[in-house]
Amino acid sequence: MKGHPAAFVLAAAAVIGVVGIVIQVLLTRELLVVFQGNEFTIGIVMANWLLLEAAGALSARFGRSSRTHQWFLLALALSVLSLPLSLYLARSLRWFLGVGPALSLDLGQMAVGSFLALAPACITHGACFTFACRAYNRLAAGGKELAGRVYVWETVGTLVGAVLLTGVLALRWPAFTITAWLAATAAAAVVLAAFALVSTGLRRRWLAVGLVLLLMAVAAVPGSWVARLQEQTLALHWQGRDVLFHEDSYYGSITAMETREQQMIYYDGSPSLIIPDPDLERLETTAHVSLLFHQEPRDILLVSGGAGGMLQEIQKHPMDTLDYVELDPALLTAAARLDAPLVRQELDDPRLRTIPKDGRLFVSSTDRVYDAVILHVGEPSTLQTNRLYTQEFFSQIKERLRPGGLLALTLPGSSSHLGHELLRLNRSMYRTLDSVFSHVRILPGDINVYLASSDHGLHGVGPDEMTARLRERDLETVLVTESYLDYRLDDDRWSRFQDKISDVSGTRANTDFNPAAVYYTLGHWGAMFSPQLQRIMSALDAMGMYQWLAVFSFLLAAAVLWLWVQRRGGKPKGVQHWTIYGAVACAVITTGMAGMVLDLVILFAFQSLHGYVYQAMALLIALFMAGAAVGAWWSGRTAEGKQTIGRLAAVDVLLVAMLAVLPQYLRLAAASPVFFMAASVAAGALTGAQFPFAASCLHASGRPSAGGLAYGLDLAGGWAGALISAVFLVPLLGIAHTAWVIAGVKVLSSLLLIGAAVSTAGHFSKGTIR
Amino acid sequence: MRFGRRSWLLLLVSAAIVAGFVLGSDLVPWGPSDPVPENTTSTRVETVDFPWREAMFYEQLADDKVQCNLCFRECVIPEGERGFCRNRENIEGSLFSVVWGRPSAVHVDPIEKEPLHQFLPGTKIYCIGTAGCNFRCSFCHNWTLSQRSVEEIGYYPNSTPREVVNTVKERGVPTISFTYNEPTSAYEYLYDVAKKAQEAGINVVFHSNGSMSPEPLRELLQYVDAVTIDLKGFTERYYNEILGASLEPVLETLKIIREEGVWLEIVNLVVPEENDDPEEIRAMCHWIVENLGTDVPLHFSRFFPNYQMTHAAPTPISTLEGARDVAKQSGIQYVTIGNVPGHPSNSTECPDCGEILIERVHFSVHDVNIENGQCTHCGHEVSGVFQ
Repeated sequence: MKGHPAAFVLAAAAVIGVVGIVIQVLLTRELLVVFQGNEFTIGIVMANWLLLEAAGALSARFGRSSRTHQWFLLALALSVLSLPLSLYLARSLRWFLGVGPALSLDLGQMAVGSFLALAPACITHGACFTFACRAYNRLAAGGKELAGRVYVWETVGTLVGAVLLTGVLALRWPAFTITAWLAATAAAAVVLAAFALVSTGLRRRWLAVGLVLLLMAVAAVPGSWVARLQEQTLALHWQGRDVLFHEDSYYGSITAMETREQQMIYYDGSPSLIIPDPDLERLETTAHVSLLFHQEPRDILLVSGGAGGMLQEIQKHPMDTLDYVELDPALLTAAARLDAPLVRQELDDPRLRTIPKDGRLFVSSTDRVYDAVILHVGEPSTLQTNRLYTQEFFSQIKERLRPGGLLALTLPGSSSHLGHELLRLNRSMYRTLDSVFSHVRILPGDINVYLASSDHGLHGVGPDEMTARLRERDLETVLVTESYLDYRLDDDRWSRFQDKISDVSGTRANTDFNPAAVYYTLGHWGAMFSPQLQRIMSALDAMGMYQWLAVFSFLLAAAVLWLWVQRRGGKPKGVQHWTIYGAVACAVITTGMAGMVLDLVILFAFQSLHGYVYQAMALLIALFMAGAAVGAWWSGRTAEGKQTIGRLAAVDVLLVAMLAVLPQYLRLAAASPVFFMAASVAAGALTGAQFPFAASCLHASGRPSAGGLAYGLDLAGGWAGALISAVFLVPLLGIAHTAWVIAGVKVLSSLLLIGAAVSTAGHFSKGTIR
Repeated sequence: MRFGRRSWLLLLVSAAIVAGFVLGSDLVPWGPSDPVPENTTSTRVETVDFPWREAMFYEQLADDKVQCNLCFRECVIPEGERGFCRNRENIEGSLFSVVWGRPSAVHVDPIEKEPLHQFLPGTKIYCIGTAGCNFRCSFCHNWTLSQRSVEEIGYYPNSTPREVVNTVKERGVPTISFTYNEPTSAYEYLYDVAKKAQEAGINVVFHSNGSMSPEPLRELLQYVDAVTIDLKGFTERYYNEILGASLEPVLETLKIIREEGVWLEIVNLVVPEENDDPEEIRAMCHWIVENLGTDVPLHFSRFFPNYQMTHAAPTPISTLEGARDVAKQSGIQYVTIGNVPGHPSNSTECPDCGEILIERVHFSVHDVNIENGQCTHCGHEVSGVFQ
């Protein structure tokens, strides 16, 4: 064992990989719950992740090389402590930021908050990896650069971590329990590394440190520590509210709370069930106003939001069957756990068939047909909920409606004044429904009720007929009465609303890959919490794909001009061949951006089509990283000689092709997640392949420390790519056009590279400039 | 000629710029998204199309500054700027209302929605709201109006006081209500509409946060028939932290409305963990009884998550019932619970015999058991305006 100390470093690198991917996914998910944010927030978290990892890697450059092993052990030991610390910070972030659980956070708070929470885990992770490389180089190669092996083992660890998280842990364990296991694994690595790496005198000390940490972590798993931390962070998050229970399900985070006699279930941080006195106006309006429009609704499908009163309202109608599809069975279990008579009663109805399944999956696979389909999903503020509001889903529902059947859904409205942002959301939904159904009717109010049907009968129904049906069905309603129906179906109100909503020019329809409703809902939230940012977004809204491309082209051109001007006043420091230098620098920075955009596009598309990105995220990211490792390994073998710049350009062109075809490929590949995995590997491979080529070219251009420069540029590109695509491009342009904008950017950088290659042909051989 | 590296580069840079501009223009027919036209509603007007009305209750200061004396804030407004409410602008040392004749919301609602429960129950009101507010409530239900300027949200044209009164007469609605946002911030508009409405025999009511200064309030009340005031809480802390305002001016307003003999009703929105302490509610009720008497109707309203408090919990019904009980114990005669459709306390009970005086479900009146201002069951004299 002592004979192969380098092997221990590789084993430790694998542990670092496991820890990295698991904590990344755990923290991302925790932060999203804390922010009550949507999937776009992943971009902000990833951008911060990159920065902090880089900071950790940089910090590792300052240790004296004679003590590399001790620094490595210290970084590993600190990472053991940093894991629960980061989780603790993430969970109690609202308390640290001074924002109560009732208030939402703005974009700035999310950026700062995630930076703070990620800092301990990311910095130590970045430092661990760099020290592992240095330690391995000293041991195995006597200083020769062999960091690639550490990279490979770290990637293997990442893959193992992802498989563990996806397959075994499946996010079902409490986050602190998973973290305790992670910490124990890292502590075990400290113990092993202490055996292998340090001299006898120090070994005892480091062994003691490692063992103590290991014991602490292992003891925390079954003991009360995890529970106590869980309770403490819950208390800090909910700031004094009475939490009944909390659990992380396969799909979301569920917290039950009690205030006096009122019990509530929060799903991913937002209220989803209130008993015993639910929001009756919402329930009665959604259920009865919709169903009274149908002459005789015998078979009804309710998609989501059933338990807690909605089922009961629907069950008041004389019908034959009610199919209730709920994505997360844990939500139903939690509702049942509250043991409220209302929930018990409605779930016991013999006409009810509860289907714990994704609404989309159910609708596309069932052969049943319905008289009415009611969507009670909550606002389309995330890609996960939005997938039940898209053109594609509406088309599937249309296939499942009987003649005369109708689809009903609600969106926020206002009985006093519909703000600009809500108006756009409502217009978008009107446009989307109108593109699928031949008849759409809206009943405006604080809750706008949308009814869509292929049957013209929808328009003929007035308050008198509805009142007659109300009596005929002998419905016991509180709010929905004759006078209420008169009020809701008031012609004057409708015509005023229609004037506003029917002008849909300039409003995007909502589709899977262009989730306009998410953007408009975010706009509505932005107007409440960050009016300034919202004004910027509204201004940018006018920009289409080509305008964005123009902006990037301009930036790229400006960068090249700047280099040219520099060259006239003397070349950039240490650079012998500025053309290569400029073109490669542009290629690296845009590849960093493209890699991140590819990664996010795959994640967002996966969420839009499959809806369980939190389980798949670890695997998709790990496969991307594995792809990058394979790509880097392959190109590293051939990254010398005069062909290098040509190969670099070839990779660039392949990246363009991938960005261009990826959206369509993912759309066609919707049926199988395996295609997403393959896309992740390919995207990673292309991104990774470019790095050694680029470093070699930069080196050849005479730039000292080319690897560091390439790393920095790649990082800057990735960081910008994450932020720009998640905050601006995807919300404004959708998934496909975001990929195409970046493809356009890569076209330009490829042209620069080809130009540089051609113009320097004959000057460039054996890695040096003649 | 040798096509050197410099030429290549220049060519590429030029191509990039040209490509950028060409693609960026609308020359290419295949565009992913059309620009959004801002002016999409018929009511939205970006520029001012008729003179602004000069504001009332302000004084001119040195350097072209003015001090607005309309509400407790007493904003000192430099030339070219607006007050805290976004509605009063200093133009060359004179203060003007920018929302006069420019309502941003107009609807016909049941009067119960106000709520005004003992003022012509079961009738309709012609509701007018403008942009702007002098409070910053985190839970504002109408924030798209109150927390925006008129330029941001647009307005309905043809809404001068004369035009409003004519429309209301034509539609046969008995009452005009200034509501949705804070009417103080549209004072001159409300004042002029109220004067014209009184001449035309139309009632005028308004729903306010109660922060108007005493002098303008007394001036306005001459032309007003009923007022609903939000007494949103009973601590300075709550008013400061959650509403960005102050309690004291509201209490002063309540006393003045009572003194002037205008019909008054009070709403208290009970927000869990913010203003739902029974002792606070008890103190509020004692103050009402001592300073306003026992016959001012008090409505406890259920809070639902809204605006910046979207993730808060709704008020438990027992909290509202507890508040109702405290109010009744304190001697307040008419206490109801709102925003809980179907709750028995939606209805107004007779303080004497306990029978239902006005049976209500949410905003619908189902039965009125009052004749000639008296309970039809026991003859108790019921306060309010019923004819």
